[in-house]
Amino acid sequence: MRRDAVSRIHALLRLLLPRDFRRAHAADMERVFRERVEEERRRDGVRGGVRAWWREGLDLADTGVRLRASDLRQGGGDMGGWTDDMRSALRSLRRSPGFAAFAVGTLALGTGATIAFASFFDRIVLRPVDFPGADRLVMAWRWREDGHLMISPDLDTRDRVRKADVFAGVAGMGNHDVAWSTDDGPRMLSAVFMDSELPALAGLPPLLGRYFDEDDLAGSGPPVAILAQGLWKRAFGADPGVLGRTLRIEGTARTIIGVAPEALRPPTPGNGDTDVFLPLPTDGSEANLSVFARLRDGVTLEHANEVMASLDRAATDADKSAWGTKLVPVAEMATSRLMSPLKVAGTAVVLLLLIACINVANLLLARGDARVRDTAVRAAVGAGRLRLAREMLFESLVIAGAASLIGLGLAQGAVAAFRVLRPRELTLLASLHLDPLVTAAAVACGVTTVLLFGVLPLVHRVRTRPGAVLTERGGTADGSTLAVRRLLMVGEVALSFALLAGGVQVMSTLMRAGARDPGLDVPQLLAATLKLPAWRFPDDASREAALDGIVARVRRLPGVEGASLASSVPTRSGIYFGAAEAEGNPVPEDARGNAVFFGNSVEPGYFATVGQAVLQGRAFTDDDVKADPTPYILGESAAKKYFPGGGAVGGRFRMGSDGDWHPVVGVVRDVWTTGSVNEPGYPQLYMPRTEGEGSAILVRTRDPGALAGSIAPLVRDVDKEIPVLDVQPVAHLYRQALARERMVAVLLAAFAVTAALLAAVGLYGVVSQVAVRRTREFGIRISLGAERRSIFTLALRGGVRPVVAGLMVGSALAWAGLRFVKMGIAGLAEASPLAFLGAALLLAVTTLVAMGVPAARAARTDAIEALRAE
Amino acid sequence: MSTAAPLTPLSMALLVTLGGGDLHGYALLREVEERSGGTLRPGTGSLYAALQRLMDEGLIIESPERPDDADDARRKYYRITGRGRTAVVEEARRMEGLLADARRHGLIPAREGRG
Repeated sequence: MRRDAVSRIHALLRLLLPRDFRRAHAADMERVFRERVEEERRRDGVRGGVRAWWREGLDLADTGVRLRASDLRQGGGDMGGWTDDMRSALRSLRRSPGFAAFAVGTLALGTGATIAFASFFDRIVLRPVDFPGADRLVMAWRWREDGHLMISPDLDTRDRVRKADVFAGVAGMGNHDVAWSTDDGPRMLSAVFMDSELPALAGLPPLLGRYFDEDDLAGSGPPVAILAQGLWKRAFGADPGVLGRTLRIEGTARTIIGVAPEALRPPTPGNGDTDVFLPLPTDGSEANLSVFARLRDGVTLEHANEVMASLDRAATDADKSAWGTKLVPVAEMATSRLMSPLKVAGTAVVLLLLIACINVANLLLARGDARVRDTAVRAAVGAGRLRLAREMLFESLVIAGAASLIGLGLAQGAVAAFRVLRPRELTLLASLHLDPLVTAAAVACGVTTVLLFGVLPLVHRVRTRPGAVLTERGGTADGSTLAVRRLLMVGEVALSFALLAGGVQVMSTLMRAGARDPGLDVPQLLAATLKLPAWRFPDDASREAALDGIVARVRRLPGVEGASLASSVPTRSGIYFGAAEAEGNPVPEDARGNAVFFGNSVEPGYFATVGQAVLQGRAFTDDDVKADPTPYILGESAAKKYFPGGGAVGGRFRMGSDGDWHPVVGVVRDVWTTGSVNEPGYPQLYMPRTEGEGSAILVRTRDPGALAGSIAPLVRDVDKEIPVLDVQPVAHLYRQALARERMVAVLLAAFAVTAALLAAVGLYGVVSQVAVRRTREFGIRISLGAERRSIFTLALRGGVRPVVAGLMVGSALAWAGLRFVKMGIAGLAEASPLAFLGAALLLAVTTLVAMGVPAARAARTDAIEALRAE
Repeated sequence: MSTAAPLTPLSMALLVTLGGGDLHGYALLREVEERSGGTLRPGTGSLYAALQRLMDEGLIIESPERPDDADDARRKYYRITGRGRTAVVEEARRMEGLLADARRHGLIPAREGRG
């Protein structure tokens, strides 16, 4: 038979047929086919040849299936082939349960992690926004080139975007909570203020009634409201006669004109479910405005931004202080905060999978080694190389299949656990689930990787020359496999170390962040946020009276050491924005143009209540509020930045466009406001609280948690229409702010620990296998008088070198890796030698234990048994 | 009556072809194709599977003689056996019976044209 391409390809195709059949007819089949192909080519050229190949391939596949199927029905028969192999693979796996368990377990971990991660990735990167046509949606922001500042848009922004001709719909939307007066007191509802465009963007008709029209939006008709489906079901029992009834919202009676479907929700996630829709006020009073627009088909984001830029230029020509506009895809807004932790987690997952695969490869190689003689014997009596390889391939397949199934289960569990345990802040992950497509892809990836690692050692194994092996006795290790396996171990230890070191580093950074001085006496503070409804308290005097009443009652509660009003809670400080300058001092480099300050309007006792140290000067007094100009108090870094030579107290400062200088009367310790570990602390500024101002009460008490429940009744006593938005120990607020970093740290820790365990398992396997094969040698040594201890060291030594090498390589990897990870965790310090040392120690101990067990077993070898065994 | 299952069209065609003399693989293939007017175009898999089955049932054997000496000596030639001829006849009778039935029930015109 000629050995040309035709022959080879046909031989490959013939593999589809059962072995015995092949053997009987291969030669003839090839000959017949060759003649057929030549004839077809003569008759019809290339097309004929291709057609002949195509038909032949199908025919062989079909015949193969039919023959094997009939074999199965006959219970194996002579043409067993694949089923035989499958059965013998299962049998041999059953005979080595340890190996099977390790292999499947290791792989399941790796695959499960990959699948879980792929689901995260899908939810967070690929489909973060649950809105029709979200991929063409953009948000419009106000933008200033100098200072690179982006702030919320206003109605002018929306109108300007509407003027640009590149959008198929532009909607303005506001979003905040409103108080609904019910018989049980005020109930907070999550309200979306919309114009007529939002439902059009979503393309969703109302369930009942109608959406807002011109009159509703202009406010020229009676006040109206639209219920969201959820509220309609919960509070109105899905009553179809709800139209025409009224709701008293923020003091105004509003007629219900429609019910919106559940799917109508703001395109930006994270605000929980919407309860009610109200008309967007046309007077610009909605402070929390968002502008959404859908790009027309064929319009790119770049083009749209260009169009906006020219409209912006026209606007600034007319008014110098006008803002520019910037368009950002909605998906980007939703995910940007999570992207970098995701990259970190992704790296960790890849590493874990790699480690798992190395482990399995090692295990398979070891297994091949152990069966070296068995393989050689079978090869010698004529079992085809392909047949042997196929058997081992089936073992790999069974392992991969079982591991995938278990991994899937693990991933499902992990996702469910995460959904429950996630930091409250990360609402994006609330709807996490295992997507079938993503899962299939991840499983395919895992299985492919595994097969690759599983087959390579097989190929090597199968090439063994039987003769060489059979003439040796006692199974000394095959030199080349052992070298490969040692190399693999080095790699595995290195990767595990990298993961472990990274994990330790991240955890320690987080702990340091937690230990960072928050500037306040956090454990003793309770923060209550209120909102005095404007319709009930229309002027300063009435508000002041109410606030006074509330604070007085709070102060009388048992255990309260102090209570003060402020305009906001420390972790949610207000932002002051404008040109900032200290008299007689140069404007700092990075604060040219507009600066951003975090600040608070506080009453005189505030700093004492929260335990914020006054470093220079004094706190506010009752007279300060009436002073004109009102005095300021600066945070310490602000003072250092704007008064570099000192002299903040007594100096003058101005902020914003009003141009008045304000005297600085004190400097206080900085408060940790942003929550994130290393975002630069913005400079801080305090002003005296004016009459009626304040929506936060800071309460100093020994046990903030115990006091939390007493606040709401007090407020109700003063006025039952005042909603209490939030009462929490300040410690909780800080914990929430760190949510993102915590999540990453926890994930990394989990991966690192798993990796360390896998490395330990791998080492156990290596040392164990080698020791088993040297049983005879150990037996001889012992019978010649060797001490048990020396056997122990001998067995151990095989594993120590790879570990040391792995640690060295791993350090280099970890150091490089940490630079990459820095992007994910802001504030990650340079690789700390202590962290590396810690990780190395951890890994070393784990691996020593893992190696010690089989080594100890080797030391206990019964000399007689060993010599008898082969 | 015949106890064997009815033969597949391919098997039947092979037997009929071999009834005219021993043949080897490719020639068989061509004959079958031509006789069936192109309806039977087996690939080598189906062909040899069918041949194997016929051999297993004893309807054909590998021919010990080589009719054409110039041909490649390694080619396998096939020959129909006595049992094979019997099987053809029985099958043909079975098909006749079917035809008669069909005619009786009016599915086929009582008189067909030749061919």
